[in-house]
Amino acid sequence: MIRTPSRVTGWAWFEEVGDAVVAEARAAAAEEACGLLVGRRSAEGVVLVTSIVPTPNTEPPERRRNRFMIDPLRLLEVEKSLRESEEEVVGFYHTHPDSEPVPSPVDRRFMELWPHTVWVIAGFTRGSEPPRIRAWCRDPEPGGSVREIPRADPPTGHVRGARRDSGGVTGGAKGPGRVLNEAEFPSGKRKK
Amino acid sequence: MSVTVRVPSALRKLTHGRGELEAEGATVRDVLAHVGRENPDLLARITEEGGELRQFLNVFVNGTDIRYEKELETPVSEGDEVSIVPSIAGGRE
Repeated sequence: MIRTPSRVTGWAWFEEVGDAVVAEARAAAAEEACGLLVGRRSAEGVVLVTSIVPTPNTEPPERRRNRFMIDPLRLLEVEKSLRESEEEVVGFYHTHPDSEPVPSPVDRRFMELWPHTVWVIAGFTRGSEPPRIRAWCRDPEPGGSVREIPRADPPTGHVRGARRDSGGVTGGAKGPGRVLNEAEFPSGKRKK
Repeated sequence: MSVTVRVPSALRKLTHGRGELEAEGATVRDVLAHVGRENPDLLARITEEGGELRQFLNVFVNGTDIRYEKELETPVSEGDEVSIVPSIAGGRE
């Protein structure tokens, strides 16, 4: 069963997932790219991102250089497609075409609406290549702060084939933290 | 009318872990009030003290945004699905 969200203590993703986010960031060039992060939560609050679903940036073209918006109906569609699985939408990603991967004041305002959710930002700082990637979360308590989430290594020995889901890509990335154990995460089909 | 209310996984801490709630009511306002009786934390997150929807909070009935219907007075029918989705957005000022 999907675990009730608790305080997010860390995050990880498989290498192909990270590669896919970087590819999306490059493809969007000067505009902000965005999408959904799909994955699982461990009992200790570590979020494992196993795939992404890129989504159109629904802001008007003239605003996409520094704003992004995801169609909420797309989120509903993806959550519906995950109902029988152990996975869920665990967060969102977006890109900063020319700034640090740090939440802006506007980002923080919307993060407040999404507790227990990972916000990955890929930022091209002064043209840095590849982009720098950091993840953030806002604690749900009133007045809770936005904090950076430490990155862990994904479980070893986990093999996934690439999957495309309406333009989404799945896969496997190496992070600089502790190595997660696959057994920490729920797996298999969810019981009805 | 009995309807199903769907809550995204990120907000399930506010619903005792449930992503699907059953509720009664003739309008979206009734349904949210019903859900709020058992889930006051969820209600506080999605509505203002006066009962109006908070800014950047989207509610859909069978996939149709209630802003294009009658807002909170949008009628619901038996078996309808009411979905609550905060806006997902960001960027620089």
